[in-house]
Amino acid sequence: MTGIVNNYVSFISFVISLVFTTWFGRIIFQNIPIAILFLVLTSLLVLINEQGFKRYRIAFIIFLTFFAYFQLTTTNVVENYKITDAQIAQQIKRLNSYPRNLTKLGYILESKQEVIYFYKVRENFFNLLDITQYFPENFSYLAIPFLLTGLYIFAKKHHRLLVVGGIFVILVFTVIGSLAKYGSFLLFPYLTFCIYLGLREVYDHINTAKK
Amino acid sequence: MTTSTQLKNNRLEIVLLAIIVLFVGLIYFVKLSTIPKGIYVDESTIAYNTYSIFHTGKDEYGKAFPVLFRLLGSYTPGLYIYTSIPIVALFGMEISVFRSISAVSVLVSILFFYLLTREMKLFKSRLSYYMVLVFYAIVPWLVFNARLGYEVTLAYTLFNVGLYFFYRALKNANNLIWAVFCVSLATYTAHTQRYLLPIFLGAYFFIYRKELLIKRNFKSLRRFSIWLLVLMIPNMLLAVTPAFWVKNARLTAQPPYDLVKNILVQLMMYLSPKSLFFKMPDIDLQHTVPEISVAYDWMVVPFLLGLYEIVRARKLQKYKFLILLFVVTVLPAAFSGQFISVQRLLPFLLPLMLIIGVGVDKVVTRLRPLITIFLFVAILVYSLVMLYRSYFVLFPLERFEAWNYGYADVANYVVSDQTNHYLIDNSRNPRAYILLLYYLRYPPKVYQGEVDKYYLNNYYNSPGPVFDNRFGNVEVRSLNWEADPLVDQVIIGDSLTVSEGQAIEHGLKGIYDIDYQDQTLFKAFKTSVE
Repeated sequence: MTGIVNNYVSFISFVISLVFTTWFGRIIFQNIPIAILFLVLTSLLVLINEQGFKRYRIAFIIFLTFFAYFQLTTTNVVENYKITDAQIAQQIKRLNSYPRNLTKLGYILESKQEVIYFYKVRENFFNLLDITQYFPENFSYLAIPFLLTGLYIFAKKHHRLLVVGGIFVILVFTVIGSLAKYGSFLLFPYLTFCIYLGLREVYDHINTAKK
Repeated sequence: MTTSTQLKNNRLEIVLLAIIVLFVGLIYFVKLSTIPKGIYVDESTIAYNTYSIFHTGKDEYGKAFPVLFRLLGSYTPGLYIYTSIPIVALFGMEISVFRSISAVSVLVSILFFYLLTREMKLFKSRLSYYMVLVFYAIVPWLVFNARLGYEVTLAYTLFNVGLYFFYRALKNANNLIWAVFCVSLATYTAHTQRYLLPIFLGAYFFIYRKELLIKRNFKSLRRFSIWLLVLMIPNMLLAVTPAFWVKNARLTAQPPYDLVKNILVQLMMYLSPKSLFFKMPDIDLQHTVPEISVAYDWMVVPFLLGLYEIVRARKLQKYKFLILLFVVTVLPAAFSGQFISVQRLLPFLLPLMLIIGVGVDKVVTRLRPLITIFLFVAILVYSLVMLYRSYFVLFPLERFEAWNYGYADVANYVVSDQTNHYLIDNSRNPRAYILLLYYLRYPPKVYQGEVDKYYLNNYYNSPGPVFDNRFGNVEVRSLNWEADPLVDQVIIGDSLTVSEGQAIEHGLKGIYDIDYQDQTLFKAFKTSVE
């Protein structure tokens, strides 16, 4: 009986977390394969959470790779790394403003190619962490408390495969940036999954308090 | 521990603290008069009103020793101005004098940051206390505020000193008296702390009701309440005037739905890691430093680690206090209306750095001391290089206009020939008059006689700000193309005030340019009435 109730609660939580993912409602009409992949990956995350990762490991890796491929093909990586004339002018201006005895430091900080790429990669990373880009554009405001709770549960559970997958997603965006046609959707299964975890936690908390 | 070891430890502690204070003191005081490049209107209005109170006992509008200063219509609590008076009397009116008050107050805040972390027993590793203290002392937003010549930094320090005593009061309620003195003074220094205090007090006494509201503490609580009531009398008397609520106008003017939505958006904006560790969202360029934000980019890692740790062990008294600070200190900023104001977020810097400290400590306890020290030095060097780049190189280069650079030259030009009448166009800088009053050291007694008495008579009724001003041979307002070219005067404006075509059409003769970095900041034209 407890198992059935548990499955029922999990399913309802999963559906609500999908409803909170407003991006999903939009992408169904824009790109069906991406929508299906999103649904499959999110379901896999939930299943791994509920039943352990052994049965779903291969499927998770394959679908995550496919999803990453779609993200890559819909992201304008070249544009992201392009340096405009205005930026070059700014670089020169900045370089010239260093004191004479620190010209070399100025060159390293303002013009050295590797450092410029480091700035770009850093920008990509922080764009990914910009929570304002997700609400209300891709997720409902109502999902915020559940997402925060879910993120905490996610960190607490420390599920190795899911954590490695999460790090992979962050790395992908840090390299390719987020100038993407359909948004940073590679991350969305994780966010929806965290909303799900938050919903479950709130339900469990209320249930325990009642007892 | 034996007494001699304890003594040695205490000596080492004092020496380390002294080294840290001396080192960061250098960062706070170096080139204080030239970086920020120029003077912000908030600095000039504080400086001029200090000058005015010092010489006449009245502010620029003629109000004797006000509690809230009208300034530019902001009704700012006046403690910073009153604190500045003896310092101005000793060291003069240079802007670096006003900025050094903030620098000194930040040095005090560093000491109390250390004391608070010690009192909270926040870290497991002894090394963490010093490392986190150094990171706190060089965090970009603190460095930026340590070098500002207006009230926000002093208020921040006073409030933090109060918080230290509030934490101590959990063990010994007698500390509440010191706490109430400090936080009350903070409410007479800046707006933010005025909103912060009631929110903090409510949450503090609710969360720690079991520790505080016990029979043993009743005497201290009674004394605390009486002192709080007494110290709040000026605030309470002014709470019935519109001036007291002037900063709430933007907030309360919104319909309820927009209000909730704006608060939510603002909370997300302020707490977004991108805003905290990469790019400030403030639309006011004066509040931002290029390529750096509130904290260093690398701090996002210990921040997330620390946040996880305090949520995980949230029942511990020290973490409860941290969570309390984390929540309440962000609220005054979130309630500031539709605009993002990083300045109102300043009190949040304390819990932010304490949480980062918890994260740093978590890493430190897992590493060997040698690796820790190596990592610390590497991160410190990286942070200082980023600070140097952003604050000492790019900030003066890219923010000088936001800091009104060039008005000193305008004032010098006006002084150089007193026979002319000067019209200074303020279309793109409506508050420019106060910069000129400051730079000209215009006699306050004379200005009080020239300013419209309506503002004095309705002082706390908060009449709207009026930026068109006339004093001596200077008039500050927008240019009137129909009338002004026909009057014998010198028109001074920025590069957009008068185009080449307009100059020819209206017979204006360019007589003086103020240039900086290959661009014209101001141009002076002489009208030809004939």
